[in-house]
Amino acid sequence: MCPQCARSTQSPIYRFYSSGAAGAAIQPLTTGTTAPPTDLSAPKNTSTTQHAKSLYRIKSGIILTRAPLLTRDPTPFEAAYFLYQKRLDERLVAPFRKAFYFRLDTPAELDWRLKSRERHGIAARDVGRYNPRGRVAWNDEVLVGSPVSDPAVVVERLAKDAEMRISEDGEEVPEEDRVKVERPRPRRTEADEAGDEKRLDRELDRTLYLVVKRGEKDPWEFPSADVLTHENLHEVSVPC
Amino acid sequence: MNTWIVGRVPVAHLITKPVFKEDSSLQRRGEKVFFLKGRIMAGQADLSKNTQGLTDFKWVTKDGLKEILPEEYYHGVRNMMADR
Repeated sequence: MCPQCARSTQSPIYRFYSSGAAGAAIQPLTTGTTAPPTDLSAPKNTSTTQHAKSLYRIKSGIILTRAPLLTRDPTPFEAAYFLYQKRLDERLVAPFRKAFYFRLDTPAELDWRLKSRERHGIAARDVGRYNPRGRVAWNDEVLVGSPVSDPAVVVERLAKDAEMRISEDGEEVPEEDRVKVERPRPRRTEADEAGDEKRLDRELDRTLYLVVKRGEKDPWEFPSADVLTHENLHEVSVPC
Repeated sequence: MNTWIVGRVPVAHLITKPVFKEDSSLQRRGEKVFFLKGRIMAGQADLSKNTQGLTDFKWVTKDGLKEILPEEYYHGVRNMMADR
């Protein structure tokens, strides 16, 4: 019997009317004294009913998870869809007015002119070679196998485009002297490369689960511990 | 380790049947394991103070669990896991 049940049935003072006069008569007589029991808090474990030993042991375990830190990679279809949306946007927005943003013959304007020429006059930097206002404006879908919509290619193109290629005095900076733009950190970390399964900074776009092991030959399992009778599941201290 | 228990309701359970001897006396008790879901916020698992004799731990994805867990064990807990 668990301590809680023992406490509720063993208390001699608090009694319902329905519990009958027999109990009331017997209680003081059997003890042989009128003094009330001194220790009310401690349950008297005098129960005679013994339950059969349970066939099951109750355990509480924890599935400890690490939530994904990154969104997943887009599928090729999703990447193509996003490129399509960018091209559609390029077609629908008002044309880019260079004079509004760049003063004539400043390094910034020269830089823009240089890059714009390389992009064949397209304002957007990550839509590939696509002319939104011409006879072929309808041709806005990426072809199968084309790397244009690949996120890695897009990032690389944007980073390259962000480099300043005209110096302060209006001259073109050679390739090796340009200030490189910092690229985003890779999605795969050192722990991924090393295959270190104890580290938490791996598989950044997946959920990770903690598993533990007893000995070499025991199987992996989630950490768990026995539940005592006076505990709830969440109160069990699971080792991990 | 900084963790947060998502709720007090078990997200999965696992029942191991008791084993009886030939004279139907109990050889080994069965187990009912109830799993709560927790999230790790910071820190790292530390088995140095555990009293259960745990020796090793690792963090694996759902695919990894499928490979390393016993089949019926994985079958009992797989539905609480997200696809990724």
